[in-house]
Amino acid sequence: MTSKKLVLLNFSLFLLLAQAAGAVEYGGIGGRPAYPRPDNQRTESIFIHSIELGETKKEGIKVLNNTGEEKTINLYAVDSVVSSGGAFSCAQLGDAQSDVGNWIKLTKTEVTLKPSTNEVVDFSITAPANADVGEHNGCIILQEKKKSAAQGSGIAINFRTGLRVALMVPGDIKKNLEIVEMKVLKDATKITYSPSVKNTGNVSIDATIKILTTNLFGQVIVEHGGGYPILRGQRSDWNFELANPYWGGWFKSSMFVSYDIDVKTEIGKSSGNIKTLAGPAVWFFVMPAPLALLVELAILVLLFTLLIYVFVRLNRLRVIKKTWQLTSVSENDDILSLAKKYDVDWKLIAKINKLEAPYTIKTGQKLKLPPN
Amino acid sequence: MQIDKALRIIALSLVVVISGLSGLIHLAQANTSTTLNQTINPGSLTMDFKDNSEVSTTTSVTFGALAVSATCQQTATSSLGSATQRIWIDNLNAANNGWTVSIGAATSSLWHNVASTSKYDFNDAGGAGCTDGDADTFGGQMFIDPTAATIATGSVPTTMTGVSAGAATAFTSAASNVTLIQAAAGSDDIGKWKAYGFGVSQKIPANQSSNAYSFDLTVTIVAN
Repeated sequence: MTSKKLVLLNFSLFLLLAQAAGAVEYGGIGGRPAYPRPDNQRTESIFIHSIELGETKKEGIKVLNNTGEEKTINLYAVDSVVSSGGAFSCAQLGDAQSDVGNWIKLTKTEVTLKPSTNEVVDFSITAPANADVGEHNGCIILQEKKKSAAQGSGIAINFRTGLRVALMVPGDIKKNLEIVEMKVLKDATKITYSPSVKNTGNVSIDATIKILTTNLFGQVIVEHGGGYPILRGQRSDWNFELANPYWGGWFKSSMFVSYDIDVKTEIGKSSGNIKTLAGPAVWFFVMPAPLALLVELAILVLLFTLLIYVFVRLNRLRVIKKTWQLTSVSENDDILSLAKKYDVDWKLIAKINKLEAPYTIKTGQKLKLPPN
Repeated sequence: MQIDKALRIIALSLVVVISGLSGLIHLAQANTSTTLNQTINPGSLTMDFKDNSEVSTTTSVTFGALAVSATCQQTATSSLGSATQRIWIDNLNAANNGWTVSIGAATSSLWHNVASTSKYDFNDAGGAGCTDGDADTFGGQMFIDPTAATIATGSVPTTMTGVSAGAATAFTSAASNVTLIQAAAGSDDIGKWKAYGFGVSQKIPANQSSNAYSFDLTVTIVAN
């Protein structure tokens, strides 16, 4: 048993036990492809087919009711639409369907399922003879049949689940991505990275977006990104956020986009023929947090003071080395009397002449001492 | 003799008791080897509006009352969901390459009163949402701000890896869907997330008649 199945088993058992405690709904209503292909794991999540002009494919959707109540679920097919940022979404039931939404014929448009049961609804997909070469997308929607909440004013919200249907009409397939821009927006609390990529081909591309942010020393402090589908002919934009670094500073963000360029590779598979595009690098400065700024200023003042101290000490030594002269010690002189005589600290005389405790000196001994 | 007899009775009793216990133990052992059957239904990608006890509930977005204005200065603001009523998303190994949650309205939709005698638009960019500039004859524009939302994991060990909010966007006649949340391919294949507080604001055209207006929006979740 794979770890994923174990997690799912534990999760399901947890939900099962929790469900006994009350009228809590877990899992809800949804669906998944009824006949996934073993050669493409992605077909467990979405419908993927290559379809010739005029050809009809048979498929099925497994409709699930994982709630504790009987549910009546409406099914309908719609075209895909592009949501803001270039994301994949599904057209509304009332919209005119001119693409995949019109190619799909469901054998049932409504199913009633008892709790924790499922039913397969078969459907057919027929590509019209005049369909464009390339990828066409649509959705099969599952929506619980229920009356909208009564309301006097405001917005009523309805929920639905869509299963993507990706159909490839063979021909002159083009796969190409272009980086449009990479913006870095800053506000008082966060940095927002907004990369944009355009798909100039005629099929969707699963792209991996990577944004590396490095500090002034070239160390990577954070990596953003992920794998996203970019629909044919569309521009996709993302927003990745990073809380303002506490200590602030100068940073550089670089953008990279990778995708499989093999035109024969279908969605969900990889040929290993990966192309990586490097986007513009953006330098930006982030102000440190107020407390961090105080700490940084204090450290700077401390370092500056230390620097001045060291400079003064070194300069003093340089002057001493330049001006002090070798002088013979007279009779009855000791280090204290010499210090008093030349008006300097006895420790300085000991240090310059490398004398050690008990700092005894002999008559006639040559010592470096200040000029008279 | 009496003692021997008593000892024999005690010994016999012990044999009977031990035999009985042995039988019970064997019975118990036989019971522990009973096969347990557990069916686990396949999971799906689902979304619903639930309270904090995860009980499904209906929802609407309500706006505070506004006064009729001769100028288009008013923007009604509200939010979708609250700390006690949130959108719950369950991915039970049904979307292995990420998913998208978007909100949209039918292209021909309009805000309307009960009798549908008074209307205004939700996707008209004309005059910054104040005047009519599209195919219908009504002004008005709705703005959705997903960045205002709070998105969090709904269970352990779900992570927020690859899950991000969409950008703040206004509906236009060319953009009838706004992305609320996007999950990248690297997001958890099995997980539960919850979200609330999506900003919603509506520009009300000038001289809009006094009425109670309603509108329908559909939230869609789809596997990528």
